[in-house]
Amino acid sequence: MIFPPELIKGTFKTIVLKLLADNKKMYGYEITQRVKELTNERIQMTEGTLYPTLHALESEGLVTTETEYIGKRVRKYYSLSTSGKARSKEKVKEFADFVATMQLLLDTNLKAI
Amino acid sequence: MYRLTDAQIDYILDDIRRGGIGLEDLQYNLLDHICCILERDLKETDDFEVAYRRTIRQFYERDLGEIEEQAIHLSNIKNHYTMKKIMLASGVLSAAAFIAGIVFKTFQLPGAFAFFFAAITLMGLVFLPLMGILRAAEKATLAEKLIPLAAALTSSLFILSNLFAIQHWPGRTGMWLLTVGSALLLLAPSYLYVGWQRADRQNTVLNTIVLVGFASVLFLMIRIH
Repeated sequence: MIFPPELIKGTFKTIVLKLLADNKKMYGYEITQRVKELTNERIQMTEGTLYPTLHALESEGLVTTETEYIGKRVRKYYSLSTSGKARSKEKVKEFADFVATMQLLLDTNLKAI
Repeated sequence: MYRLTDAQIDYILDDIRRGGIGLEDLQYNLLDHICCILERDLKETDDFEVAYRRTIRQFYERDLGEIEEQAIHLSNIKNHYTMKKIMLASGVLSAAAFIAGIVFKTFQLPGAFAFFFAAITLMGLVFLPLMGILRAAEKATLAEKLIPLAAALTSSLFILSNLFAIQHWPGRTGMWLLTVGSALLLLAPSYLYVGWQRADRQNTVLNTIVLVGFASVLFLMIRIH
């Protein structure tokens, strides 16, 4: 089952930051494939979501970039900046707290039923 | 593994641009992404055009341009669209003022200089600087950002120094030297450096030679100024 986009909409920055924290540098296609692989294709990060997210992270100074020329193509690698590393930890913790809270909420409600 | 040809890569890049992606950074990201998918999935016997259309269609719901809209929306370039509107408006007004100035001058009507003054001021101080800033924002690296900024600075100095020369204002020689200096020391080196790193080295060298030639002729024109 693929998770519906509305459920994962607010998680893209966290996902990308965490992936970049775990991998030294990654390029766009590589990120989408890694997300597919790690989630058994249950989360699909589309190109229309990934690149705006990367663009926003770059504008915020959370990622740094380097380019590699492959013939006529330009491949852009992303890696975390110093502030990006700190933000990645914050975002992961924030999301873990959210999941724990949701778990608590759902468990309580289920018991009430 | 299937290897895309240079012609196929050019085709994809042109199509991305036609699809409404203006940010160069985003163009190259999408190009590389599509190339990765096609080289993974295509077989030698497959039809490139059909496979490409099928792949690109998965990237959007309405049209490809929505990716750029979303990128700009999510980034901090909140003033992007406002700056673009001001740039276009100043460009149109400047062109209109130039035409009016030419008509007035041709028929020896009073007020021709006022139109030229407005046109040059708008173009040199509003249109060209904004164009340089907006183009630079679309580039990925610092060196690439320097090209549109240097081009805007050189063009602005060029038309403003002509205004100074026409009016015999003090500082006209200095402005002219700044124009030549900006072309030779900022624009030409940044253009050559960025172009040299890409595959298209021959055209880069040729264009740089033309640029240096023009700048040198401008330097020779210093006596007129």
